[in-house]
Amino acid sequence: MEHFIEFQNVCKYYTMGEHKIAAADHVSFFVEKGEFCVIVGPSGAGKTTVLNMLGGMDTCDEGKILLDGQEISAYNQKQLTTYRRYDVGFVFQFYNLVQNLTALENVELASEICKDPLDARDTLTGVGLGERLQNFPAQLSGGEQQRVAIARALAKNPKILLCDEPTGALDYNTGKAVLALLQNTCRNTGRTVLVITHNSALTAMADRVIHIKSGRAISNDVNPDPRPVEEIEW
Amino acid sequence: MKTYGKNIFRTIRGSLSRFLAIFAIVALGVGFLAGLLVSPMDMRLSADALYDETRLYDLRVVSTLGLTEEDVEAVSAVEGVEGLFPAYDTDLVLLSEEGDSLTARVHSLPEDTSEENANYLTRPQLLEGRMPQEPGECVIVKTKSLVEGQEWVGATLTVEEDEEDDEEEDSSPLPQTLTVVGTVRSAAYVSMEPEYTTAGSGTLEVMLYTLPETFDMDYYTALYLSVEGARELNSSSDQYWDKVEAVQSALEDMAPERAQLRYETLVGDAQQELDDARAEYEEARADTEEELADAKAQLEDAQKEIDENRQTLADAKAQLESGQAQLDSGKTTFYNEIYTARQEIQNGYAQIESGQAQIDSGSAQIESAQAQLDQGYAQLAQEEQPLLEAKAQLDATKSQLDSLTQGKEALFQAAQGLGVEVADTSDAGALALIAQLEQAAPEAAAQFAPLQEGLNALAAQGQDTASALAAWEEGTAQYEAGYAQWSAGKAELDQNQAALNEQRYALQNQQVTLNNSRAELDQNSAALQQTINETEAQFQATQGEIDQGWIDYQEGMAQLEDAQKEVDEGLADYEEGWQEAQDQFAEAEEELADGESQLREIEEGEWYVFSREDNVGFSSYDSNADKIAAIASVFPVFFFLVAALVALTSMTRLVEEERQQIGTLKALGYSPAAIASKYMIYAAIATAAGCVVGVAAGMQVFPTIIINAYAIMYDIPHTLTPVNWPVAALASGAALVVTLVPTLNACWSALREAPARLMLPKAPKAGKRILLERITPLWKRMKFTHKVTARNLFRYKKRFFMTVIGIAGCTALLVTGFGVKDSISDIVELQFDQLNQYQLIVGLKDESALEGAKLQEILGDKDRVEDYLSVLQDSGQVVPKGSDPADSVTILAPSDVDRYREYFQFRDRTSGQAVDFTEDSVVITEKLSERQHLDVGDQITVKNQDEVEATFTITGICENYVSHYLYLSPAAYEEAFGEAPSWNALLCKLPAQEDAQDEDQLTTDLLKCRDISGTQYTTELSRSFNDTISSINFIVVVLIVSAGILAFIVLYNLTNINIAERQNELATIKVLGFYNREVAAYIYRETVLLTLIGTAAGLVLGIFLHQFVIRTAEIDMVMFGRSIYPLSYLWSALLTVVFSVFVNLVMYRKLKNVDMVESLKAPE
Repeated sequence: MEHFIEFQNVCKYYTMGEHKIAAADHVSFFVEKGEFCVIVGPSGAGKTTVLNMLGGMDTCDEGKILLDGQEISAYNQKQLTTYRRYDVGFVFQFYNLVQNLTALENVELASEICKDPLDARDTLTGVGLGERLQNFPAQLSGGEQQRVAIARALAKNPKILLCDEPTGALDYNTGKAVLALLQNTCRNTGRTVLVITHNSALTAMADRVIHIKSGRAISNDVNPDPRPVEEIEW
Repeated sequence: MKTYGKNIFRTIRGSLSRFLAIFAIVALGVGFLAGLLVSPMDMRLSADALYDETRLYDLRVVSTLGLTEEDVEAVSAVEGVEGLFPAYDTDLVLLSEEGDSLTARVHSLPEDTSEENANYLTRPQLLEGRMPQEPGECVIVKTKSLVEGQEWVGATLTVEEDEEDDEEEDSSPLPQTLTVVGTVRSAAYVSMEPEYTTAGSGTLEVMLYTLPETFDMDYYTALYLSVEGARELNSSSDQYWDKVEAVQSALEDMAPERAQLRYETLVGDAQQELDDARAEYEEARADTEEELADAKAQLEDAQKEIDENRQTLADAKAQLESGQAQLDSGKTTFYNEIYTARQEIQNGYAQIESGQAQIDSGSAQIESAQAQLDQGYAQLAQEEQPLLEAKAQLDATKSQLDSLTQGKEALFQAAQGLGVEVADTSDAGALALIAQLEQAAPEAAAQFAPLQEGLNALAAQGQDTASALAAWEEGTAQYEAGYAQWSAGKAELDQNQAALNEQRYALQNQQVTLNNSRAELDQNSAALQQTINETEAQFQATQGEIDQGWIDYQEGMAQLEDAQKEVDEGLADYEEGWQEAQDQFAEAEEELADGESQLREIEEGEWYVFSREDNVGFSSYDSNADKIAAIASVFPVFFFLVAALVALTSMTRLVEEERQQIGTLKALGYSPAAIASKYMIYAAIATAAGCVVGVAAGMQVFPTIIINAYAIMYDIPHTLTPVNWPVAALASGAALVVTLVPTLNACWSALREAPARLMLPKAPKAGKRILLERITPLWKRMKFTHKVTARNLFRYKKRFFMTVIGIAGCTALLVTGFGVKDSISDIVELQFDQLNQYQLIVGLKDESALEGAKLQEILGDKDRVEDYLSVLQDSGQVVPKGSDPADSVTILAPSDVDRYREYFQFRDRTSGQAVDFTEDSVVITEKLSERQHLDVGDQITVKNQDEVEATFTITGICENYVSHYLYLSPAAYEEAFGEAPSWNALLCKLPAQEDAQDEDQLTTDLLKCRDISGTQYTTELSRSFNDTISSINFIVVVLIVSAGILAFIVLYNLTNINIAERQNELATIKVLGFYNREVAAYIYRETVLLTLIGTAAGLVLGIFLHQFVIRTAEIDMVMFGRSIYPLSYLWSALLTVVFSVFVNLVMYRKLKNVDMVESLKAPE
């Protein structure tokens, strides 16, 4: 059976001086459509590498990456850009908003170039920022900035939402709220969401948990009983 | 400290492009500054090396009267004079072997030409061949303007025979031919600009050096001096000039006295000679004039006689003509009359003919009427016969009847008588009776036999007497009627015949009358013909008389013409003789005037003490060096400004990037000074390296380029480019200041912050609303990406201004470069084609030169000189107000104010409107007004050559480019300077088709005229001017190249920093799926906009910079064109855009390589 996302023996090497280091070492896993998937592992395990390759920001050296039946790993740079443009929503640890644009404009920056974007205003209202549309990032708190980033990713109406340590720069409560937003988005819109974290406590909220360690996916488990994030403590 | 050093080194390696940018801009700035500053110095140094090497004279003394041994002694006694070289020089025209005439100056060498001779000055350096050893040998100066590739060594030059002056004993001090034995370089002739001379074409073409023995002169023409201690000094230095000027003024002090001595010995002889010549001439003239007068009187008598005869003949002719006229008119009248008479006669005949015709037709009518009548009569006659017959019958019938009746009566009677009763009287009764009677009386009855017969006959006819009688009566009536009718017809005919007869008679009468008339006419006609014949004979006789008269007249006339011809020939002979005499007089007078002029020249005799400044080569080279110096003071400013900008942006960025490191160091306990020193050292290393390269390269490259560029025009063999330490220090110091101050400024803001805050990433510069957003309608209409661009532009104000300034500087440099070219190329056309409307200036030594016959002849020939105007040109000096310079000014007063406007366009440069120049006008040239800060209505004080001061109120300022002028009317001049202007120059308009050969010939001819001091073609001026300024063209190239480099450095650096600063932003939009070209467009939109703004600003800035450069680079006496052609703006803008596009293309690669993963890892 075809999986929505599938990594087949994906390798990524970096050359550090004379050493060749495998950031991803025959990583294989799959994720089904509509799942809230948490990729967990310690720092430097290769989580981000996996995510970047999936997101089309990086290429793999070996193996196959498939999304919705498309072989992303075979894309050239231009195809990758198109892929990022239409199919992928990214949320980063440091939000990466364009400082010179208002919240609304940051979202519009993404939605402008898409084929079938969601309304920027609605999306922002959806993430609870209906009142702060005209604020510049500097005028927003970290949590609010991350919400803008999520809204920006969502407004593109992507196939998958990739979040790299979305709570990494946020305090506990704000982080929780952001995670709740992501989880709800997944539940309410049926969008496939992948979240990278080093916090294994978050596995409890996931539909699927993938453990990555030293560049290898060591487990790929379905959580039979995902709990809302509010119930999780760490 | 070792680690610290490593840290710096690694930082440099890590930000190599930024380091190189600082290095490059510093190298460029310093190179430019040092190079340009040192170039004029090196130019002078190189020239001075030649001057020293060849012992170029420091001072030159010449006298119009020549210099004697006593003068030499007097001069050598002056303090400070080291070497003294008395020399002969002469200017003359030489002919080459090909027959070309060359205007030449021949100098003598000293007797002793050994190295050690301190008196051997201005030593020519041998290039080819050998130095002269025999008299008549010479060496030629190989100047830049000498024809390339021509073989001079071995050439023979011939002194041109001055055919007109051959009476003068020693017109040339040189032998007939000179042989060139070598070519030399002379420091006195380094320039290709020509020296002026009064000989030949007016400008020197060849310069020769020969042995003193070659000259046949009894006095020296020049003394060349060297000043003690001057050789060791640079001839552009003040010390040099102090020394030289001291000696110069000492010489000038003694000059008038020396000149006076020389004058006194010369002038006496000349005067005596002249006086003798004049006396001789006057005598000869008187004789000739008397002879001519006699001849003329004779001729006039003869003419008088002829005139009288001519009058007589004319009278005769008039008479003949009037006779002829009378005759002709008589003829006319006569023939007119005859014609009328003939006409009348003809009319008479015509009338007669018509009468005849009428008569004839009348006759014909009558004849035809007669014929009709005759016919009528014939008919009547015919009709009469039956009538007559009828009558006869009727009459026979009657008589028969009557006899019957009578017979009957007689019967009855007889019967009665017989007693027979007669009851029946009818025929039958009668017959019966008869019958009865017969029986009764047969005899009586016999008597009635006829009756019976008759009655029987009747009865046989069926008739009886009664009816026969009735028939008769009827016949008679018929007859009567016919007869009546016939009679009537006859009567009518008779009447007609009568009328016709009457008509015929009348016609016959007419015919008689007509015949009478005809006879009369015939008589008249004959009489007329008679008259005609008689009169014509008379006419012929008269005409014969007149014709004879004409023949007589013609004969008389021919005789007269012969006589006249004789007289005319005589007169022509006389005129010829007279003209000849006049010419001889004029020639003689000319000669005398020549003599007088020569005498005057002696009077004008003066000493001139010239320094090197008066040498064309020296002074023009020096002024060119000044121009370079002026430009050198402007341009490096830009590079330094840009260097400061580059340093500021680069170092600010560097400091920002290393915030955390600074914080860490601070936390570790490093002092702010120690931390800052890293960046200072960083900048200092970049700057120092830049300075070293800049100084090393600039001080070699620029002087070499410039000196070599000038080598096109100047024969300076050396290119000395020593390192000039003061300039190097100055340039490097300036560079350090402009880089270190911004660096310190960049460090300062970082170092003020607490270490803890430094450890945190610097808060990104907050987004802000810009003014544009408040213009909602506009903002709403803008595309999203444009909004971003607009906001970014205003967000990074520092970068905005830097880019704009950098680009503006680049454009401004380009505008200036092109503008300088425009301005310079403008002058020649503007001055010599548009403003000056004359092509030739002829200098007059004296106003009386105008009366010279030769000059008048040339000026009168419209094919050679179309028009001319005499003017006064006086070299004056402005008496300045305050600190304005004491400019020399040419005071020009034309002899005709109105006509002068045809020779010079008085107009305002900016508006192009005419400037009034009338009797009351005082017009000065624009550059002078600028330099003296004068405007219309202001007063200007000027002193003329005789030191007379005069003050004028300016009425106009006119456009002019070369030299300063003060234009006055002659009246104003006289009023101001107290003497009437004496015309010392002629402005000439030449025919358009004149070629160079014509010009040469004209010059040669003009210079042969009396009292002509020289000629100058404006074409020649413009040519030499063009040569001078063409060297400035390379400055344009330098400017364009440097502008390109500048633009590249600025744009590269700024785009580089722009990308570095916004790496995160770029990575973000890349992650969002912007294609490479969209990412590029995101950045380029800003760059393009900044470039456009910068270009626009640069175009404006360029106008000012151009103005500044032009004013700075201008020579005092010259005003460059002030306008820039529109095309230059276009080129400047275009080149800027091209540079910018180029940089952006280079940057595209960098944009493409922005690494999303790396950029997004760290917080901003």
